[in-house]
Amino acid sequence: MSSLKELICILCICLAWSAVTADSVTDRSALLEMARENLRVTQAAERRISDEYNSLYAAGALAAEEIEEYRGFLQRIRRFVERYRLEVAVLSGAVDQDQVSVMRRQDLSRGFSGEQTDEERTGALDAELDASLGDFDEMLLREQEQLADKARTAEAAGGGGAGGTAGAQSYAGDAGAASDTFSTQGEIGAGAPDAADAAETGEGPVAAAGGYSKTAQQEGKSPAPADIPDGGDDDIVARQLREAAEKETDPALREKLWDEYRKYKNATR
Amino acid sequence: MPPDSLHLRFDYKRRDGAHSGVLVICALLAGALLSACQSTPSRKISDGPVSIMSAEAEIPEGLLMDVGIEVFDPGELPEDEAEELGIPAEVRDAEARFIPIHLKNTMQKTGQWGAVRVVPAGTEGSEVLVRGRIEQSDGEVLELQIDAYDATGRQWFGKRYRTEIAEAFYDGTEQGVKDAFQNLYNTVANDLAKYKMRLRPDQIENIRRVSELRFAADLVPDAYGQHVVADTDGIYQVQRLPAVDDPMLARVRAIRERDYLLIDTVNGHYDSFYVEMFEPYANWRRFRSQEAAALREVKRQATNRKLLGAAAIVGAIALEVFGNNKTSANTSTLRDVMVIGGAMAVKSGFDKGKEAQIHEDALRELGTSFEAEVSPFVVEVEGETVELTGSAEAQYQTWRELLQKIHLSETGLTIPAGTNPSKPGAD
Repeated sequence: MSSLKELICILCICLAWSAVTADSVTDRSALLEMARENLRVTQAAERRISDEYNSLYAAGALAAEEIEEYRGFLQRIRRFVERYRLEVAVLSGAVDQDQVSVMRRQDLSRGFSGEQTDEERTGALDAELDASLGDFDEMLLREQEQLADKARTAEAAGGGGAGGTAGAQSYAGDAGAASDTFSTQGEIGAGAPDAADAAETGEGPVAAAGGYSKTAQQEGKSPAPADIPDGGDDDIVARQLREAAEKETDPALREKLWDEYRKYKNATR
Repeated sequence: MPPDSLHLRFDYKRRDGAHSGVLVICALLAGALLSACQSTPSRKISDGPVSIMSAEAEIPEGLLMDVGIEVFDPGELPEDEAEELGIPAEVRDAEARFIPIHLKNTMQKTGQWGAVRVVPAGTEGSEVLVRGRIEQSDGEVLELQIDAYDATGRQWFGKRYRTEIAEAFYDGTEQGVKDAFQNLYNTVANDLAKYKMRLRPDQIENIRRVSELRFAADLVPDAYGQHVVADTDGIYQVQRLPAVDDPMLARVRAIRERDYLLIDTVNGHYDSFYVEMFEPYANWRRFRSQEAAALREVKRQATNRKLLGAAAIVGAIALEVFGNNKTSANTSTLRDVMVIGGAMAVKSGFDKGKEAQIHEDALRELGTSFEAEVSPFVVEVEGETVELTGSAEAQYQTWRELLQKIHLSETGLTIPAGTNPSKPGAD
């Protein structure tokens, strides 16, 4: 492989020099001669390296890495062969000048000194894209695992509001099902005499505020005396009295608060 | 002795001038009373149930359109302080997420659509995009402005939906299935399905193609920027199609799959938020609705009592002014009763007004309590959404640059000077 590497170096330097200086050569015949010489040299190099590779490959003397190295170089030198062949064709009048301009521009964009080919570059970028997509997938997977953990924790805690506020009454069955409740409702207020009566006395609807708080019966609160109703119809004042009584730790004071509660309830009934 | 009222009637018949004067006053009072009684607006609840339109048969995969429902615009809270009572802005922010999630749940069950996702505002690329704005939401009324578009930019419709419900509608609500305002959700879902059913298969195919090409053009403008362009009306038209085996399109599709996965993950957070919010939200709306109804009732009673009291007092004065000596003598007791009774009624009306204050306090407390409960959920879901979409946007920028390099590598083109190989319009 040492001779191969020497040859590669010489060839690359030669080709790079010729490419850089090509534009400065104005004599068409000299350009043609130079292109022919370049073509001859590159073709010879391509043949020699190709033979060397084939024999070594057939003998099984090449490591996988070396095989890749040979193939890469052969691909590159064949591209140079094609380029000089085209230049010879143009300079000898066989093809249009525009075609060679396109070719030269492409070659310059690729570079002449061992840069990747378009295919190699595309492959590398594709690999980078795949790796990036993989990273993104992992990030999403982690996120989804966290969500699943959160859902499991909520379930274990009995939270999450599973079942929502589904009550014993059904107002519509499923989304499309008919319901008497829908069709028999009148105007709000007119169809709710109980609510109106309760409002008249200051009870009822206001009491719902007490019902809203799910923490009303939390631990740490003293139980209400037996004669105290459940508080479902407490208004805001009654609720405050009730909460104060429930939270009170002094038994005497607590009883006074319950008395206040009873008085208030009787007064507003 | 006959009752005073009979004497009164007799006297009115005899004295035409006084009679007509009293009648005018009584008529004015009755009119004022009637108008006062009507000043409390009656609240019409919605008509019967609206059935959801489910697909009658399985729709072929190629004709299923994906739907993106943007997080709603929370809208403006009512300027009227009385109406705003107990509806903090944070609650509206929560509703702006809750309502589209429930609409998504409703639409998903119909079998009319492909994937239905809630997307952050400003998300591009949905085959069907639904935008909404909350106009009113107070537990008794839900009013939404809904606008639907497809990927070509064509507006399907823009409609205002309004539903008023009774408290009984809060019975039997079920998370993910049935909201108290399910009629409204069903109506929106049905309108979307009706519009979609009017589309021919080739129109649906075109919408899906435009959606994909717009996504591709966003990622690799140099490759697909001219495949789909907007006409003068802003409607996107396909100009040309990529090759069937276009490797760049395969890459774009791979990224689009990640985009879907990202939105699905964001939806996981939205769903979690919805689950956490469902029960407290239903309770808050129910109790707010009760309080608001009670407040209206108390205010109506207070007004009626004040007017009745005033009418009684004015009636007593009228008897005094327009009656003759005999009438005055015969109705002195009645007038006293009317004045005292009227004064008591007016006082009772003012007492009722104070009772209304209790209900107003309760409404405020309910709003404050619910706000405190739901605000952390909103902050959490918003934070997670921003974090995910923010990191994804940075990732998309990387992908745009990579795809641009690949595009240049595949085509042999060079990057024109002064351009940014990234998102169109970024430079």
